Amino acid sequence: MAFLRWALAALVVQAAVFSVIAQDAEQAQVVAELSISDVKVVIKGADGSAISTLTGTYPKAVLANPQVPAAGSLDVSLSVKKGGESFKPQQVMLMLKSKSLGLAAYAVGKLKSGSYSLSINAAAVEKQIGKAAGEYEATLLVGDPSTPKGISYALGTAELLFSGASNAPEPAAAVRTAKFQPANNVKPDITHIFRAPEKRPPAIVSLVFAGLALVPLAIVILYVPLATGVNFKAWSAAPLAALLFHGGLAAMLLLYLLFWLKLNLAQTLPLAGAGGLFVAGSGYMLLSALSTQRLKKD
Amino acid sequence: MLAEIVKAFSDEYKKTPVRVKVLDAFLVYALATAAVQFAYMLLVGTFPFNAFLAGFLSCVGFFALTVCLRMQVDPANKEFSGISPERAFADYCLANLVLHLVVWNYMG
Repeated sequence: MAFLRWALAALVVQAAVFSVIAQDAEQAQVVAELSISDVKVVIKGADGSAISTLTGTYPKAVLANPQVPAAGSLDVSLSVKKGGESFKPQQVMLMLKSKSLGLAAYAVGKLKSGSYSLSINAAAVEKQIGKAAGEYEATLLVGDPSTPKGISYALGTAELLFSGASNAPEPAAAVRTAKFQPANNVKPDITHIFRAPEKRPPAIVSLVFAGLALVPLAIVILYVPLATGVNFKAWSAAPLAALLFHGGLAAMLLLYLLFWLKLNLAQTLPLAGAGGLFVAGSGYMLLSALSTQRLKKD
Repeated sequence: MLAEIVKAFSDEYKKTPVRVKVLDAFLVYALATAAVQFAYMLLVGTFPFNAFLAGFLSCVGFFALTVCLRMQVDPANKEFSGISPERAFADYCLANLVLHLVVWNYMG
């Protein structure tokens, strides 16, 4: 018990020491906060000339729903400081969020001689979320993992105009985000396509060839008894087994005919198995009788 | 000259056992039936292609099985002397039943 008590006391002391150290670290971090200054919002026309230039002070909105021309752009420039010194945060972005769809398009800031510049236009928005003309909420986002708080500067709203050509009616896939695809956007069922029946020859041609295919069979039936001297002498070796064996073979052939005409494979296979066993048994009786007869003769 | 060859051949062929002659007749029968189906395919077309394949390949398969049986029951062929003709015929029956089950299945 004494050992346990010592261990518990050690744990309490350890926790107290760690909490003091953690508090110190928090106080040290509070010092370095992000700040932005020299925020300049420029709306440019199709020819690249500035239509209006606005100066913003965080956190006061500057945009009062001006129109951004189709070929023009919305440009923002700013400088970022941390703890009063020039700083390069990991993220500087301009977010344009469509009021009607709730989707957002982003522009990434580029650092140029100490200040960031961001530019977004209708084409970039269309590329990211599809064509959605209308009002957008513009927000400037600045963030870095080394600071506890990022900056989200709501600049106000602006109306994006898309070019006349791209305003033309377009299929429903204009908004390219899975969430906004229609729920019933189901692809049509794929069904097996059978080979299209070709033009069949006249029935007489098929019948003639069917007859021709039977001619060799007829010749065999006529020729074999006449020319080869085949005979039924072996029948007497085991008459019953011979009858069963040949009857079984005929039944198998009949089963195959039924299989072709109406049965399916699952129905046929058990019957074929049973018939096969019967043929095997009767065949064994017949053939062993024939074999003993042959060996006796030899 | 040609007549002599044919005569010599038929004289010699008369000496072959009856069962080998019957098997030869079956071989010619299978070939002729296959030839008729092949001619139909060339002249008319392959349209029910599975039916053509089933018919043609049943002839080819039957031919191959019959050749095997002929080799096994021919007394002149000593290579299969360990297999009795009855045993060879039983194998032949089984193989033909399996072959034709597949053929009828494929014929559709």
